[in-house]
Amino acid sequence: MKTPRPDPDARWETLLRQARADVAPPTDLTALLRVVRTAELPGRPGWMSDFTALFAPRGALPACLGGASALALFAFWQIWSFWQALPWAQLLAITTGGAP
Amino acid sequence: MSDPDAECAARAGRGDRAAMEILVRRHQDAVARLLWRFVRTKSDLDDLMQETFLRMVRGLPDWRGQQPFVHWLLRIATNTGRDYFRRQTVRRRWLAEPRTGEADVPPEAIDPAADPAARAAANEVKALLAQLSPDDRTLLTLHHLEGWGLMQIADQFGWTLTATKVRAWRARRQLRSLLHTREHP
Repeated sequence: MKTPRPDPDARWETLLRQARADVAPPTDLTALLRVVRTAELPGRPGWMSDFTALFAPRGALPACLGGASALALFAFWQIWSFWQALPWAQLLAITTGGAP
Repeated sequence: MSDPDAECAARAGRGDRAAMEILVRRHQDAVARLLWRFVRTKSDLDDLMQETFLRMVRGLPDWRGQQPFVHWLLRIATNTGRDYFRRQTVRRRWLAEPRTGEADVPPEAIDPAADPAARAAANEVKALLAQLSPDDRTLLTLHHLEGWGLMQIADQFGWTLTATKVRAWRARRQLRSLLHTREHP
């Protein structure tokens, strides 16, 4: 009679059940408190940290896109206003003989 | 429901060392329980505990109380655990250690476990998981040993639920193959 082969899945489940019962050894509270007591405290967050947060990896792309869009809009507005003013400027130049 | 740690965490965020110590005393057991799933030796556990609470001190001024303090702290602990897995993988790559090498490392000479059978099983599971990539290892550690749901894990790491499910499925498939290889070499 052949011995049944062990089922890896069943063995895994048993192993997990046992492993979950494992508890952590006691930790070194004195060392932890020493770390907390001697740790260098970070500076209070202010406008500078808010500003630099804009350039954090997660915020960099939206900030760049926003900046590029604003620049494009401003440039378009400038070109548009010069374009509008150009015939008037030519007219002014003709009437004054080129003097400003 | 109000956060019982909110007032203490706010004081700690303003640099009150006594408040920080209260937070450490209050949550050290929960943090140790979680981090123990990531490590196999007490010295590694102590290192990760210190790293977690150091990150807590550094991050306290940014804590705004949108989530309970303990959730925030355990999130730091999970990230510390994942970074530990990543460091191990990098070190293994640099030292060109074989992937299965970690399974043969004895946990510690003096390792008094309350339940030796449970400790042996946990070490076996950790050694098997050590053969996966750091992210897969973290996912299965939290899911299988700590009993976290996939939604909770997805939220923890900022992954989508679908991506987490796919990752978990692939990791389990790899694990099953490792188990099969081990059972039938």
